[in-house]
Amino acid sequence: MVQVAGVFYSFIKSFYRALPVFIVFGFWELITLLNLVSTALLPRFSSVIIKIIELLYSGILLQNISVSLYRAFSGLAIGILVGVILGFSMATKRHVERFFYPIITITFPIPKVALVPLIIVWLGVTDQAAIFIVFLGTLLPIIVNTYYGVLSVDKRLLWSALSLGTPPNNLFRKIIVPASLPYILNGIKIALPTAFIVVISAEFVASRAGVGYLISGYGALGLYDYMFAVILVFIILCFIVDRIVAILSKRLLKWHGG
Amino acid sequence: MVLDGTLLEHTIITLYRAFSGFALSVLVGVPIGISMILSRISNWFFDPIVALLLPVPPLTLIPIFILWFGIGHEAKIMLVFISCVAVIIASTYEGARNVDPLFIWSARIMGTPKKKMLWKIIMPASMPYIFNGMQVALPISIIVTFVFEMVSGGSGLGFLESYAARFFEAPQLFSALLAVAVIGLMLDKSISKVRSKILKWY
Repeated sequence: MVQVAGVFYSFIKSFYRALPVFIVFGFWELITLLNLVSTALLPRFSSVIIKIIELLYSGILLQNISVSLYRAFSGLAIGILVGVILGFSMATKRHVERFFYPIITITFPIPKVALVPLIIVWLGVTDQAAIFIVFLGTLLPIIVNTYYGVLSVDKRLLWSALSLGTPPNNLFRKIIVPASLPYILNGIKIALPTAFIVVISAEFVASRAGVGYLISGYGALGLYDYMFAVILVFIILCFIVDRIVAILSKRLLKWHGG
Repeated sequence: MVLDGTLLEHTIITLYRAFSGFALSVLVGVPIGISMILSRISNWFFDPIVALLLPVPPLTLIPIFILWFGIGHEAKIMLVFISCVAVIIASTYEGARNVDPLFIWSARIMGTPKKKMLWKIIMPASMPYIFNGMQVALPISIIVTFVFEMVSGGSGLGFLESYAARFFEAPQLFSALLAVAVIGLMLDKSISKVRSKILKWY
């Protein structure tokens, strides 16, 4: 009984916290219901919800979302793999650092999205083009964070491990990797929204599938309630992914104090 | 392209849009962030909205903004505003929340009135965080403007680039790309210069 009350209480609490969002949605419904804003400009919230259910039922939405997620996550995965390796080698090998450091400082401020038309000219309107741009966009934050993470490993940790007789081969696996993990995760946290942004804009510019294609396609056809439905679903999806990453990194870094 | 002035013209248009949206977001975002500290209702209202808005790629909203504001300046400025304002609010709030309570206590002991507290203690103490937010938001403003121009056309560097890509005019494409890179680099450098000037005491 007590447990049920506790669940109920926490439900009420989270509802109270999310209430402003519902207020905004209610306001949206109200102004369109009262015809204060033309439904041609802003479709009714309830009709958007109906369209979301319709799109989910027909499977169009899930199919396109999975295409976009596939592109975003494969690009991100390659970016993490290459970025972490490069970051580690930059921090430990002088030559690598001397070669890559200036390249990174010059390319860091370029908006990677600006490369979309160029890459599409090179690779065509393909999955590979989108994945490659995501890779480029996520690579730099991960390299930079890994690099600084390894550089900022507390020297005392290394010294004490050495003096306690840790073999130098184990030093990397046992000390450097865990100690720089918070920085690497931070880099991934920065890279994840970047991956979404890059995928969406690549699909806006040229694509035959994906969320960005769906949104701009519905917009071009004038089916604005469908367009709003897709955008709303995507916003919720981004929010959920953001939360999952936050929870995961909290779990992984329990020893680090969050 | 540099000589006949087209590049410069489009660069100025892009910068104008990015900066107006950015300035608007700072003007609105900082007061909201501060108000979230001062008033509980404001905190209750804005906290979940900012949390929802923050992880959203603003570029998904491009079609909506085309629908509402057309493809002129207003649409781009408004989208830049929306995409920067959540970052600014979040960092201002973070800064105002992390003001060292020692400052506030000692100011209170010395009899600082409440109104002055805001300007003399809370604002300067949260300035580093606000600058962090601005440093994050400034590249976002450029990127958003650029992509919007790429998608919707209507002058600006993004338009120049996508137009060139459509006709396989490689030199024009690369010059637009290079211009964005240079703008990004210069903005990055100049904001950290301004930061170190203003935050000398920090």
